[in-house]
Amino acid sequence: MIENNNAIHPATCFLLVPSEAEGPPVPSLCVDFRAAVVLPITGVFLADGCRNRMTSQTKRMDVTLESMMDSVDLAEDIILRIAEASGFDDEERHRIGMAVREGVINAVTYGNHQNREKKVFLTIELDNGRLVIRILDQGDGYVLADVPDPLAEENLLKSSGRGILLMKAFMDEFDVVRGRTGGAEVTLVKKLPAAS
Amino acid sequence: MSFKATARDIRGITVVDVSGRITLGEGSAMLREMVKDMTGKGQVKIVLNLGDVTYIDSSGIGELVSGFTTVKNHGGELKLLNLTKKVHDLLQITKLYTVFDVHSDESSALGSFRS
Repeated sequence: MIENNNAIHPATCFLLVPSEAEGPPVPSLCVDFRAAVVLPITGVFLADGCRNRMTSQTKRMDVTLESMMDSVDLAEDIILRIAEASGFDDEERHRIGMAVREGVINAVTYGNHQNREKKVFLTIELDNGRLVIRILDQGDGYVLADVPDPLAEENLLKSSGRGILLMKAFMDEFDVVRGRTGGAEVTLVKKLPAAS
Repeated sequence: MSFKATARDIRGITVVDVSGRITLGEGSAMLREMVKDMTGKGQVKIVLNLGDVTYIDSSGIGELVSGFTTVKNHGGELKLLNLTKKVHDLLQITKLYTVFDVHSDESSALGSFRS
């Protein structure tokens, strides 16, 4: 149960649970929230109604974030823990964390304009050997082709506009579409490391 | 580790030892204020020692660029020193490695300013 209070309490823990199915073990996520809340989260929903322990089928986590800067650090922290539990090394965890950070910054700042009535929906899934992260805002959406190229000569010395470039550089796949809210939905994919 | 910066003057050149995170919010804003304050005081020969910077995001990169431009517009130079691999890689990805004058030792950085 996530309860709203004013304390920030890092009470999440992540375990790796091998699948009970035949064949090579498939990493799953185990999320156990033991205490209450981290301020910017308004809700955490675990698939299959699982709250305290995930089954080998549970491979998805949905997090609803407030449109505030604290959510950026929080989202990064969440994905870093999941990336560690999924077996990524330090360098890859850094890259994944940065990509999510940039995605949430964009969602909060450019998508939702830090409007506290709007949320950012973060979905993290393990799907067929891939870590799939979706970041959905409640803004107006955008067309990727319309975003100025930060590597163009005329944009090199601009103080912003590099987030998408970094997401693309740090992840195996990157895409942005108009999501179910009408806002931008960014999809970031990283292939899971080979099982040791 | 949160952002920290301490400045020292060496023969009219301000070397700023930066540590911690330069990210959206506190770190980036502090870097911006620091450069603005220095240029306001006429300190326009600046070396940012980034050897202890543990993390920088696109906002932090943006502030480095802003600082570079601000100092240049005041007739000065802002140079970078001791890039960690993470910062180096970010500057490469963003093609900023060729924009900044980057040094791996302080004496080289200090000697590179136009007199």
